[in-house]
Amino acid sequence: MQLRKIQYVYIFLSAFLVSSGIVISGMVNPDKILRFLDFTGPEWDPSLLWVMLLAIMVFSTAFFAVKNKGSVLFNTPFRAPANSHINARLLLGALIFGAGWGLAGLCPAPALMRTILLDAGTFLFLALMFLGFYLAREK
Amino acid sequence: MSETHLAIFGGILVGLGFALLLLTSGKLAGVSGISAGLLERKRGDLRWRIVFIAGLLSASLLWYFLWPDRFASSQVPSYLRMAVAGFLTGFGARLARGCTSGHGVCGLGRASPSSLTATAIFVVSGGLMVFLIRYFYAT
Repeated sequence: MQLRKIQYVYIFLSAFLVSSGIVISGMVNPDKILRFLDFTGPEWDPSLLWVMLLAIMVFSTAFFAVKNKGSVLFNTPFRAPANSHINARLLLGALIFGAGWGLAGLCPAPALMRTILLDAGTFLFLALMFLGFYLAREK
Repeated sequence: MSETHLAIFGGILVGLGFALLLLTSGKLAGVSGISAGLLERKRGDLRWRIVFIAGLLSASLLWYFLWPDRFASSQVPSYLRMAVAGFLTGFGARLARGCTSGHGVCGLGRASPSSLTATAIFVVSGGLMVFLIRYFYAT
């Protein structure tokens, strides 16, 4: 499916909104993530829960509006994915992902966004993240 | 505005971003899925991913000039820690087929049981890692 020029503009705008939300909510800062994950700590920060709750509410409104339509704007086909199975791959992957997340306080979006700070550690994180993507790819 | 208000506002923007992406291009994907797809080098499937990442970075750069404090982290992780964290994050996200945005926002937004499972494990595993790090640093 070939995308139209205007759709690329919207894709850019989508990412711009996501990124702005991550900055405004503070989730671009590993301090905030690590304070959330520090459940027994003295300064537990629940912000991430609010971010997720509101993001889920807004997104699900859009998702369920188009779920059974078979297409979205610009006559672009859309098929809602079937729910994937809860298997060993998912459980192990989630466990490993969480460990990495707790180790540096970074997940993929903030890590990409922090490249603008030109910090070597962030680039190292991303290089290894892509290596991880590659090694865990589905063949 | 309090941190809670900022988190709520930021969460709305994140949700709007993924909703806009879905409604205008039919794409239902989180940031790890979008960026990992770059490695597959499928014809005609690369440009939108690059445009999305460009959107993430552009907003990040703009916000950095408007509000640099939002990026200021007190973390000074070693290169080793960043490398290990990056690898675990990437490997785990691909194995679990999603990250904090893919499972945590888009997956939960479409009420997927496997995404709920993955997100719960992300948080428990991340929390455990933070707890262990603090325990070993204290002793």
